[in-house]
Parts: sequence; C-alpha cells; structure tokens
Amino acid sequence: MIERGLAAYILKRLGFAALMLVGVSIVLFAIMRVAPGGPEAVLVGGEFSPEAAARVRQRLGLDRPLVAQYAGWAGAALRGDLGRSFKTNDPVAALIVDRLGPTLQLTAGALVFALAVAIPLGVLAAVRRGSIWDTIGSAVSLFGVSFPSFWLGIMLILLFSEGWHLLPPSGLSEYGREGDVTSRVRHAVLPTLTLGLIQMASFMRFTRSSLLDVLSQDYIRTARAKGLGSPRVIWRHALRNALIPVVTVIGLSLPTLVGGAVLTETVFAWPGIGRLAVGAVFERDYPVIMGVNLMVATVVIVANLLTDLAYCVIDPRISYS
Amino acid sequence: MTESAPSRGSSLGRLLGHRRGLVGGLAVMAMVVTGSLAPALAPYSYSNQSLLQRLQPPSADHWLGTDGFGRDVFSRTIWGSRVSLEIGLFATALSLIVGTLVGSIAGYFGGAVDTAIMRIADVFLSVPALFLILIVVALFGASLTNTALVIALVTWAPVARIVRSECLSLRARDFVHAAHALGAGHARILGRHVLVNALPVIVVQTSLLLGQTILIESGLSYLGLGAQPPLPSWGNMVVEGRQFLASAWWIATFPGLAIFVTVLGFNLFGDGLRDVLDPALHSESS
Repeated sequence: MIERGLAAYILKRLGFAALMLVGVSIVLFAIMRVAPGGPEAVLVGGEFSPEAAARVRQRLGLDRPLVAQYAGWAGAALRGDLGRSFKTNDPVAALIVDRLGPTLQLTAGALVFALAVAIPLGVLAAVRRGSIWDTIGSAVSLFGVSFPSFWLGIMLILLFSEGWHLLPPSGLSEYGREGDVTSRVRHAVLPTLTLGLIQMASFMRFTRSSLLDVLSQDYIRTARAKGLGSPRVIWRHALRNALIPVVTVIGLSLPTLVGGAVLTETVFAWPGIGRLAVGAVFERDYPVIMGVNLMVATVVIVANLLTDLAYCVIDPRISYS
Repeated sequence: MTESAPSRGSSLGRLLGHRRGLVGGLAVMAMVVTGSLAPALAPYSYSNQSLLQRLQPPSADHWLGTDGFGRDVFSRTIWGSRVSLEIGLFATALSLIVGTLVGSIAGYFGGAVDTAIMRIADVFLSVPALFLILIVVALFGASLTNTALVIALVTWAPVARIVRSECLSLRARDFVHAAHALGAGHARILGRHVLVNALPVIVVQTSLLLGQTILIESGLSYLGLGAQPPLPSWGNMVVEGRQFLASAWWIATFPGLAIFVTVLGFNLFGDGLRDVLDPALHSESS
C-alpha cells in the first residue's frame, strides 16, 4: 500500500515538475523577447544599418512569429537539442556540459564544507546552550547571512593570495596543468570556502534549533532516565531525529547555492555555469540563456523532489499515500 | 538569548534594553543618517578626479584613501549608501505589500485560494533568484525601478509564506469569530483585526528583508548591473577596487565593509524586534 502511494506521489510530483519547467521556459522566453533590443546589436557590432540588423534577425530565425519560435525551440529541446549559441555557434548542450563539471565541483565542495562545520557547531551550540560555543554559533549564523559573498571572496584573495601568497586567486588550475590534482585542489580552496561560509549560517541555525527541540522531548528524557550517558543520547537518539529538518533546509538552500555560484564564479574567474550565464545575458545569446536556466531549474526541481523522498526514507512516520 | 529586559514596559523600552537589537538599530540609524546627509557629510565630491592623488593610502586628508581616479573613497562610500538604501527601501516596500496582501488572503480564506497561491509561491521559491534577476535587469536595463521591481519579484514569496501562517492561526481566534458575528465583512476583518495582529511578524520581516535586498543590490552592482558610474554604489566600488587589490587594498575593502555593517545592522535589529515583539516566534526559532 505504502509503495503504491509513494509511486503515485512521485508520478504526481514528476508531472508537476514537468509543468513547472514548461512554465519557466515560457516565462523566460517571454521576458527575453519582450525586452528592448536584441542580439543583433552585439553580433553586428558598432554602427549598423537596419538592413544588416534585419539580415541577422532572419538568419537567427528571430523574424518569425513568437509562437512559432517558441514551438520550434520547445520541439527541439524535447528531442535534446537546445540549439546553437548565437555568438560562437557551438551547440548549447555542449557548452553547458563543459561548464557543468566546475560548477558541480564548486557547489558540492561548498555544501560538504558547510555541513562539516555547521552540524558539529550546531550540536555544540544546542548541547552547551549559553556557552561560548553558542555565542560562536550565533555569530557565525549572523555573519553568514550578512556577508556580501563577492566581497568575502575578494577579502580571502587579499589575505591568502595577495598577502600571504598561499593560494592562487583565480581559475581552475595553472595553465597547462589541468590534470594536476594538487593544482586543482589549491585553486578550489578559496571559492569553495567563500560559497560554503555563506551557506553555513542556515545549516548551523537549523541544526541547533532542531536539536534543542528534540532534546526537550519525552523519549530523550526516558533515555537519560535509563542512565544512558549524554554523548550516547545525543548522537544515537537525538541527532538522528534532529537532522530530518536539516535535510529539507539543504534542499531549500539549493537555489541560493546555485545563485551564489554566479557571484563566486565571477570573483574567482571560475569557468562554470554561472559565468556562462552572465556572459550570455550580456551578449543576448538567447539559446544559451534558455539552456542554462532550464538546466538550473531542472537541477533545483529534481533536487527538491529527491529531498522530499529522502525525508520519507529517514522518517518512516511520513507517508505520501 | 537572555539579553532582553523583563517583559513589562513599552516595546521601545524593551528594545532599548536588548543589547544586540540596540547595536543593530544604531548601525541602521547611522547608515540612514549618513545616506540622507551625504552632501553635507562627504568631505569631497564623489566624482572629483585627481590624477596626482591616485591610489593614496588612508591618511588625514583621505580617511579611507583614494581610488584609481584619485577620488576620495570615504566620500564615495558615504554617497554609495544612498543607492543601497534607496533600492533596499523601494524593493522591500514592494515585496512587503505584495507578500502581505497575497499571504494574508491565502491564510485568511484557506482552501483552494490558499493552495493556488502557495503553489505559485513555491515556484518562485524554487527558481534561483539571482538568475532571474540577472536576466531581467540585463535585458531591461538597470534603472532604480527595474532593479527594485525584480528584487521584489523574488522576495515576496517568503514574506507571503510567513504572513500566511500567521493569518492562518489568527483566523481561528475568538476575536475574529466575534467580529464575524457582529456582521463585519471579510475586508474589514482582514484589515482591522487580522493584519493588525500580524503586524509584529511583518515588522520583523521588514528589517530582515531590508538587509537581504541590500545584499542582492550589491551583488547586481558587482556584476555591473547596478548604479552606473560615476554614481557610486558599494557594489561597483568593490569591483573597481578588485583590479587594485595588490597595490591598494582599501578601495575594495571599505565599501564592502559598509555593506556588511549595514546588512548586519538590519539583521541584528530584526532579531531584536523579534525578541521584543514576538516572544513566541523567537522561542520557535532560537
């Protein structure tokens, strides 16, 4: 019964996800075409005649009716063809695949770093409520939501690259040493720290409040009354339940994580999706803008779905039937 | 936190006794005063260039040094507060109006209206905000109105969610039933009874949202989509300082610090307001 309910739930969610993607693509398409100006100014460059602009628009298919343009794009996208970049004529899918690796490396690294610091700190802040750990924890969470990430990145560059010459300030690796793991790791430290420090705040706060909530419940009191030691009660009984809401927060934080990657990638000249998006927007490269945003929306929607399912696995009390 | 004074006395009195809230309030006030009195407070013009004074370190003449065009960083930081605060206030006001209106309708009426509204809010919550803002601002131009509108577009949903849950619990209370029994219409109950009681939550959100919108605006300025030079904004000052990081650390450091202090101020003030105005909410979130 439960499996059937779950299957129906997943199907419903997948249907909703598909609808959302269609909605996002229509909204994006509309925004781009309603906006004044077009790619011809960027592509032709300098002073250009109306005839030259018209030729460019015709070549790119921008002279067709909007509905036909959208239908053409959507039909191709369904077959896995996201079109070609107006600027470089490269297939959009290939551009995205090229940039996906560095962005995944950056966001995954930041997420792991943020969780590795935030969960222990959140636990300490909750268990030793009112102690120095609690103060450090609340300072971390307040600072984390108050730092402009791009500035934090620049300050880290100022200290670790310009000041102490410990770490490289930009790029994925030294030129010609792309396969060198040490070089890649050294280049990844500062961007990962920057993105991770900003994310840490909400994870820390939720671990703390969720654990405080669980610690006040009856079964914890029972465990303590049975004579179990404090560490065992906290790690075996309390934390497992306290981490359930944290899983949701991780899912909900994905849009900010991916959005934060735009700024972090710009600061550190990190060749990821964020920089591809920024460049495409400035150059009015419509197919790239559409492709990148749909890809990002898909990742976020799928991740949210997985979060909800993970919830179901972690907490057997939740059923979607 | 144990800093708040005993619950007796006015809210203002309690806020004054709340150390962190007070510090945040003072930081916010300092920034607002600085922004409003920029022409009187700034020792130099924000656009006066002097090639002889390029890249001067902080000194008695130029407290925070000078930038690559020889402009006074201190004066430009003071002027920069205007852009941040203007867009912050405008975007926050828009976001609050939409979020409160939509959230209170969803919470008060419930049922299908609630479901429909909250699904739309979910869509907005799952789109990476910065991507959407980037597209709209880059394509439509970075005017004050465009930037504020699009920031509001991505920040109304969390406000709606919070106001909704508050109204959801308020509508079941006795005084709402009493107003109904006395023949009051929905608009009157919502406006005069429910929203007034949801006000503490809304006030707290205002302060937190101001910090958030200022952060978003500075990020846009950093990407080159904010105030256009020579008008200084903190974000574009940090970008300009980025290229001189090795030789003139002060250009990027101080405007960024100003963003940090202002946002921190709004967050501290918001936390203080929450502790003072809404003890129940505080105990849930702390």
